[in-house]
Amino acid sequence: MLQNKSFVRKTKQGKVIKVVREHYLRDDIYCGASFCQNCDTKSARFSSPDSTILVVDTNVVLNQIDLLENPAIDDVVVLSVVLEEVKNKNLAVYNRLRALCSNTLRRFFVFSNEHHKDTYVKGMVGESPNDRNDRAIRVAAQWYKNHLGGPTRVLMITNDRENKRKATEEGISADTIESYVKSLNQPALLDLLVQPHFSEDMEIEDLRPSKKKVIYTEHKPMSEITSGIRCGIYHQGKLRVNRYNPFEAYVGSESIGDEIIIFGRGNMNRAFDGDVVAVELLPQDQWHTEKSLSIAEEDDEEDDSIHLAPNSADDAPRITNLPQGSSINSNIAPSRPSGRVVGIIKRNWHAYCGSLEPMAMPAGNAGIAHALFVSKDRRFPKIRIQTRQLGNLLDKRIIVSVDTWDCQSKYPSGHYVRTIGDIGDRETETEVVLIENDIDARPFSAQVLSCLPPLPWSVSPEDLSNPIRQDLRHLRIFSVDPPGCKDIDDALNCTLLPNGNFEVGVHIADVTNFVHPGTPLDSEATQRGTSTYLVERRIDMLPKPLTEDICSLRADVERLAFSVIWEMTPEAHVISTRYTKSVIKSCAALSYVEAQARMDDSRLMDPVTIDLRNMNTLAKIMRQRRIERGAITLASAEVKFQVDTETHDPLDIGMYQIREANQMVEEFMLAANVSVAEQILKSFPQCSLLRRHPSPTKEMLEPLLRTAASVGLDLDVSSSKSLADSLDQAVGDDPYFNKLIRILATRCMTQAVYFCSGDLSPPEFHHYGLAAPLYTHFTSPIRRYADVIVHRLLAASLGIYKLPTIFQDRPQLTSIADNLNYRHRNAQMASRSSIELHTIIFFRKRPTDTEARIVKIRANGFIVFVPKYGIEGPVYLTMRGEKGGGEWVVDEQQQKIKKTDGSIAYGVLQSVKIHMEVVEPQPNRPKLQLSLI
Amino acid sequence: MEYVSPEGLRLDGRRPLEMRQLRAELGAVSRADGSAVFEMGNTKVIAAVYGPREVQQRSQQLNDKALIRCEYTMANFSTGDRMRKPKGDRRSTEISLVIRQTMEACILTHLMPRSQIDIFVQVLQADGGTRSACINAATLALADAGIPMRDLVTSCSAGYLNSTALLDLNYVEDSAGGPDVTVGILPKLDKVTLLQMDAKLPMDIFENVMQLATEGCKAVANYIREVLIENTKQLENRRGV
Amino acid sequence: MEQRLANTLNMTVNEKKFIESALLSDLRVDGRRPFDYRKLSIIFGREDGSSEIQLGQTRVMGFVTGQLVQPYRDRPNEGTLAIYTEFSPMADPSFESGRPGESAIELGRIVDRGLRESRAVDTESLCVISGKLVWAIRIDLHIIDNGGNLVDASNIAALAALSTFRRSECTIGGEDGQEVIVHPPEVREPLPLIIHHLPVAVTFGFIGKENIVVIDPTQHEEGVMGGSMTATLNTNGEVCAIQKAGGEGVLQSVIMQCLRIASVKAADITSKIKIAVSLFYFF
Repeated sequence: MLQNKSFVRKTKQGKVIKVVREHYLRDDIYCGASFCQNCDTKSARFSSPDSTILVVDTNVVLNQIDLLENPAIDDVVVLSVVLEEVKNKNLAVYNRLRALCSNTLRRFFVFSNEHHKDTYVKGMVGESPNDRNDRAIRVAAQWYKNHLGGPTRVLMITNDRENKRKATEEGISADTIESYVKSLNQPALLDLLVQPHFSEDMEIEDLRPSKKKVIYTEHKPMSEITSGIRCGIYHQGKLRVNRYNPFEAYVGSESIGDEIIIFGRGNMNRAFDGDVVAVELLPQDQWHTEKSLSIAEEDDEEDDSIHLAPNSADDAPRITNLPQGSSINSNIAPSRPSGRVVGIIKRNWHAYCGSLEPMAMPAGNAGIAHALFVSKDRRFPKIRIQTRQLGNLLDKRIIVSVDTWDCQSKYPSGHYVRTIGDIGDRETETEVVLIENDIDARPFSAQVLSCLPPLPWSVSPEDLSNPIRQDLRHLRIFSVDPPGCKDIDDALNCTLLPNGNFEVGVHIADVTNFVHPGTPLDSEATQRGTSTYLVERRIDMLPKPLTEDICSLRADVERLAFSVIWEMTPEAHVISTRYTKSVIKSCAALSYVEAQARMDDSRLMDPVTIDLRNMNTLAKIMRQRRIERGAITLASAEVKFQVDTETHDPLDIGMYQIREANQMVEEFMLAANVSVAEQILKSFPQCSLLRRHPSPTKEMLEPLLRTAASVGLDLDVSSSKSLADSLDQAVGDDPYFNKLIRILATRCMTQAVYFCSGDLSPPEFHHYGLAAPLYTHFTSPIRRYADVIVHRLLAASLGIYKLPTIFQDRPQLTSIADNLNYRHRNAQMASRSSIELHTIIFFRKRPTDTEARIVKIRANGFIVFVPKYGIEGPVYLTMRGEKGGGEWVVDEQQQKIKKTDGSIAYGVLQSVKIHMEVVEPQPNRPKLQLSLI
Repeated sequence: MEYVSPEGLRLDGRRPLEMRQLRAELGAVSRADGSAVFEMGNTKVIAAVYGPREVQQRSQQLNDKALIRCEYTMANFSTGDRMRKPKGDRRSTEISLVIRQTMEACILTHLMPRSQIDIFVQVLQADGGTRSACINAATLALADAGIPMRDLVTSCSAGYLNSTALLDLNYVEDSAGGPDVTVGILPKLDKVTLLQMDAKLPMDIFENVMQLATEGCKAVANYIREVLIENTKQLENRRGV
Repeated sequence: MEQRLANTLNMTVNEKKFIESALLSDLRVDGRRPFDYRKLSIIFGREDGSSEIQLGQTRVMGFVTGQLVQPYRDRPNEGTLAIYTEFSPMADPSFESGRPGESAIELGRIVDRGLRESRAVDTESLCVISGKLVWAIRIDLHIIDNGGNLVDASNIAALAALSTFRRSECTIGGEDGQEVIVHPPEVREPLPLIIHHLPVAVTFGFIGKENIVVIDPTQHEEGVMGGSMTATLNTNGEVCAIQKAGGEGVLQSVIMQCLRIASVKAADITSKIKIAVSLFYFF
């Protein structure tokens, strides 16, 4: 009863070993028929003795699994030899078969023929394994026939002609699956039959080396790529994957001028977002025409999660956009050049965070499991990892890094690096947000901290006697900041001069006195680029002793500052400007609320309040002048959280309140920035760091115009002034209308960016939003590195500082500006993600009903904006997955969605009532859901 | 990988509570005072006992009891790959120590002072459960040598895979990384002398698995007794009794 | 093969009888009760990853170091953990320098089984480049003074040292993403090891014919005991390893009772280790 199975195997390392295993034959394996006299019928499945029992072979199972799952096919014996073969060939089909067998409603019985003493078949000399398996199936069918006897008919189903022939010879009734199905007289079943075909489905992932086929084309060797680039057949560029559609990517190429689109995984040929790749253009007839954007055609593939209302076009989901035929004459839509990747010049692999796809645990608790890791950022493909501790890793956010991606595997392979924490846990998700946005939140290293001056620090006599510093401690200087702010980087003063004019000063913390170029502190700050503000904490660019103590312009202490002082008339005309380093002593650190209260309280007459009121008057005049020039006031949908100080849980959300005091400070900061920009550009026309805001193009304003047109509003977008005027005039009967239009307008704007003045021509320096010909960032060096650079430039322009050599290296400057833009953008996205995260936590226990406005119509519903909380998201009218072809019809001209019987209609900008709550469609992955009431 | 199929069969066709086939033979090494070959499935072990005899190193002589020495080696050809270092490595030293201490507990050493008993165990084929097979073989060899013992020592291993307790793991099941509990008992006295476990197990499951292994040991003990009785009958026949 | 008796304390018959009869009335020679541990003190050295444990009279020092090596062929994405023991003759006259004796190897294997097989240390996170470069962690245990129960003390030493060990951070960079740069600790803060749970070893000795059980035997009790059992458990209620290498037979019920006592003691020792580690970082 003991047999020996021996075979020769090749191990992964290539060694050939002989494997000998025991194989026991039993006599207690039962046939599974409840009417059988001899066998134990505990786990029997077949109940009626008159039915036909089918014995299926491997290929029938592999190819016709859909047919087998149909309830019309029943009373099937699945032999263990067939089960093993199916498992080795296709795991997905094996799982489905197992599900069928364990389903008590279906009569599928697993018969362990390999271990039954009567049906065990030993391989004969010279017999191939396939033949041996076929013989085993025949022997088992024969046994069943003899065992059950009587009226039961045993039918072997196989499509293999040889097998069928031999079976019939041995007296077993055999049939092909087609003829059996036909005999059942159910024409519907015939449709489920899969025609025999010999091509393998692309979806089947077979990991055995002999079966692997090449999915991706090989990369071309480096020499061929370099020569190709030189002659122009290949183009080099950085790959940017569309965040909202990971199968679409762009390679910016100088040689073409336009971007090359890469569609589809195959064409991307294993390149990752951020890699430097070599691209070959496809022949022109394969160039992808742009899909014209019609509302009804938008895919459900679009990101349907709730997110914060985007503040600019950069944040909104990117859809390839072409203006509709309505307002602009359209030529044939130009197709964008498409290409495919032929080689990777430089890889940009780093560690990715995300979680594992849920899967069943392997046996033995420590067996190797091959798991698929899904990155949180949709731009990256799934990564296959091997792990022995699957139990520890499921349902956790983990970090995985990539090792290789060869042509034969659908996904890259990597390994596990570390666990961050449980999914949904606030600390974990915050850390994920930081990692995704490449924000360095590590504590400052010992090297960096050694660059700080020793504490406790105070203004020293050398600083006071330094000739470049003016002693301004006698001035009445105060600062106005958000409540609880510890890193105060700006302070103001306003003195009435004897001649009736005002001397207004803006004093900025003198960070460059402590951060010197070339030191580890400076390098670290350059890398970080900016401070990041999350809901519950702040990731600093500079170490805390600097930001909160040494540089911070706190009240009642002497501090070093960099001052911009204007003499201006009471009508806010600037007569003269001067810049100087100084020593100041702030007399009050007010919050916006306090400052506003003081100004409003007419009883207060103390000097600080009078100064505040004077400044306010001047600020109002300056602001009006700006608006006349064309500055646009955009409404922000920014939201503030009230956070419980102990648990850091959000207590309340509210829209950010803008008061006069905010605008006053803002106005003077803008003025300071503009003045400094003029000064540094004068001295360094080629290497100043400025900030610009490109005007929005016609395409970008298209959605706004369309929406406005649908409610009968005509907006003039020819210049920023005309747009600002149109926005001011856009008043409807409903008080919120204007704000809503402004919010929609905000979305069409691009982000402002830093640039090096030598890279562009003066007309391009323009800042659209502020309607200023020149702008830079000067007023927040504690939290922005750009300001540190501008400080250095200003000091050099005054002759009190020698500019480091890096400023003469234009490409370096450009890359610094690019890095600053990158960091700035990431910090903003991190802030928004943190707010979204806290929003979900806030709504977790508080399902709410509230009012919302429709901002966009989609095929199966619409997108609403909730003004109270500043979030927007989709509301579905039809179930997900069904196209709205049934009940609801979209009217594009009027931007409405109507029910087919005309009873209800929803138009854009209409107000609706919705219900918001947090649901968990998958365990541990909560999301916010909006539904119509 | 499934180690126990939903039909209740393991990879080699056994049910979870079944042991592999046992085979024992006495007197394999004619030169030795006592010897035995013990097979558990494909694991084959040969044990030889020399003694009691005079102590070879006077310095180690014990005045009140016998000195027990034990050496465990694996033959080069015992596993699929040729082994590089058959003895002297850490695992062999530890198993030698374990076997020695186990046998010491059951041999009546105080009856043979100032003498030495050597036990040599060599694994000829390794397919999981070598430790248990060695102890069983050593017991048989000691019995064959006629050395007085308190009781037989039998041993068996058990594991826990796919949420089922399995008796007598073979190599494939052992290398799955699940827990492996080896138990050695004195069957008549029902006392545990050897207990080794690796990998993690919650305590209540551990109790089940240990219980299962103990049952296995008792089954082995029955088999060993039968073999010894059979052997004695043959000896009687040869002596003409 | 040589036979090394771990304990060549040549004890007189009187001493043995005294210990046994004292135990009959639940008294131990040093005044403890049968299930009491001796006083445990955990001190850390100046470097990260070094610890000194004193359990009564037994003193053990543990050192942890890490190195970048090639991984094993069949585990390309896992780091390695190796335990080396050093039985210095200073600790006990029966220890000889040079090749480790049997008991040294047994101790090494017990600690090894407890740490490695139970996956206490996360080896997958030690991988830098899969298949090419991984961290190999080496734990060295030096026995300074043998006052009995070396297994428990060594285990605690290993755990304490692992908890305070920090490995340098390395980033992958370079042209093809295959070059590894190791950052010295001044530039980047080194990282701790990821330890999932602390497997604590608890040793029982079985003395006399009536099989009286004592915890944490001293050297004298080791000379008398007929058998010993070491159970390694963690605070999650899981048994990580058990080693009872022969010796006197005991009933199954006694074994289960010992395990239950061991889990209580393990929780106690785990909290002591954690407190000691947190105090170390506080200063």
